[in-house]
Amino acid sequence: MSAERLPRVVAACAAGERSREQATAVAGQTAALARTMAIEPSLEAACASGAELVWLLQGGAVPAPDALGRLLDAARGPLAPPIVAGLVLDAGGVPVDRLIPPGTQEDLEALIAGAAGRWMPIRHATETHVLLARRAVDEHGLPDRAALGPHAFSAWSRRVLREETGRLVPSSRATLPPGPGAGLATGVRDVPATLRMARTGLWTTGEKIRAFRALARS
Amino acid sequence: MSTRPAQPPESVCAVVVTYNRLELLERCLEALAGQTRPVEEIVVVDNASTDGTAAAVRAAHPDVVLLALEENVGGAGGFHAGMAQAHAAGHGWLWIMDDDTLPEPGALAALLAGAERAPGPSVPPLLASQVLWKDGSLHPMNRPFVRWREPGTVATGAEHGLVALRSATFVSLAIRREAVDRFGLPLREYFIWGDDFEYTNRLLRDTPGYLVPESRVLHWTDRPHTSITGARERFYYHVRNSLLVLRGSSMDAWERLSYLRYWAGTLKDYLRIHGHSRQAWAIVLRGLRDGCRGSAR
Repeated sequence: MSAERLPRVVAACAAGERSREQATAVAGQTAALARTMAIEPSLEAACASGAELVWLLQGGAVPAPDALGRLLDAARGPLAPPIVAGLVLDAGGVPVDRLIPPGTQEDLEALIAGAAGRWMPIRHATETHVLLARRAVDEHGLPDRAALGPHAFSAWSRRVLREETGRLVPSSRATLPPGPGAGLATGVRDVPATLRMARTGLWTTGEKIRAFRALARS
Repeated sequence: MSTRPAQPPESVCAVVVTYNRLELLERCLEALAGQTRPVEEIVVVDNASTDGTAAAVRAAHPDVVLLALEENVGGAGGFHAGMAQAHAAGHGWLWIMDDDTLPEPGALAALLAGAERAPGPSVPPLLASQVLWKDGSLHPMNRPFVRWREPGTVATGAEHGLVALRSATFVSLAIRREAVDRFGLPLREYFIWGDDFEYTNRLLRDTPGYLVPESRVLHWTDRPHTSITGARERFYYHVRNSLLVLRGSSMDAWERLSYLRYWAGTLKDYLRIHGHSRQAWAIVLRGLRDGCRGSAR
């Protein structure tokens, strides 16, 4: 990290998933305050505490020692994006494709520009390992978990990134524990939320197909 | 193809295909001569130009290897011939381009630096430059396709300052010798249109190539866009070659479906633009017939 003043960062880790290893890794980076709540109340509490940035870590993801510093490097400056995500690896050290938002050909210019800064543009994010600017919560409110269930954060991030481009910093890494991990919608209980998400207009046709295929499999 | 490592592995041969554009060719050769990392050899493939290109190159550039073809074999045939020559000479990299390509002085050095920092255990099969139009924007004719369906690969590429590609055009493309050993040359029977798409898709089906942002070239065309559907007789090549690509093995099922939709749309637009005339239908049907008959790879 290269700045004189460190912004106040609050790390939010969901209670049920928080492992000792994750807590140790978070505590080792900046003066982060680890909270053990679900995402929305944690975000709310973090903003109320005056944090400028909130670092979400879900699914038991354990960040690398320099993970936060690398996110912060990309999250500051005059054109700082409201959302900066890191790369999530599985237990074998392989990037988890389903947790990396795919781009489109329209993002080509941004992808080329980003490569020079070692990041890639994103139009939405998952909550597994991501740094959020407090202003995004101030402007867009909290994810609507009641209505959109497992898709709430994705929908929220798409709204936040409608006008601005987010960044994914591949050198900022967090590793999931063995098992299915975070970001997987779903079970039968998620059918109404998935239907509501499909009607928001935020998903492409391909994403709708993938979501309903995942539901069918479950 | 047989290998002949007569040159060091990092030797670069620039292959320029030209047809009746001597003035542009001169500018291209000048830009090649001005590279901060010089090329070991330049091969100019003259597609039977009628403007005295061959004589002019012989006179002004005695150090250039000139392949003066007896007939115009199109861009596809030209690149086939030029790359065969460069490969046979044993060069490690084949840097290919049209005669209206103007590389910035550091374009080649940046491409090779990109190869050095590319992720993965082996050197990527190809590296591409940013292709810009006169106004500095990305040239619409040369927008490469990114490996969007492999987000992990795209992310890893970005981490190394590169853009992971699925396909690219023949405007400033550095192709690794081993890729030619394994996949052969562009298909000369394509003549024009789709040869680069087919070839790069074939090379990059299982392994990513990369765009190197710091490597920049100007593609000096009068207009930023050529309408495929606005073409008349040439549309035949689009119909035929696209069908050959669809029948070949360079794309997976999902990519084929996506390309089929695009292709069907161009056919529909072409027939509409030309008033569903008998001539337009004849061109489309001839392309379909030859696309079904031709051998696909």
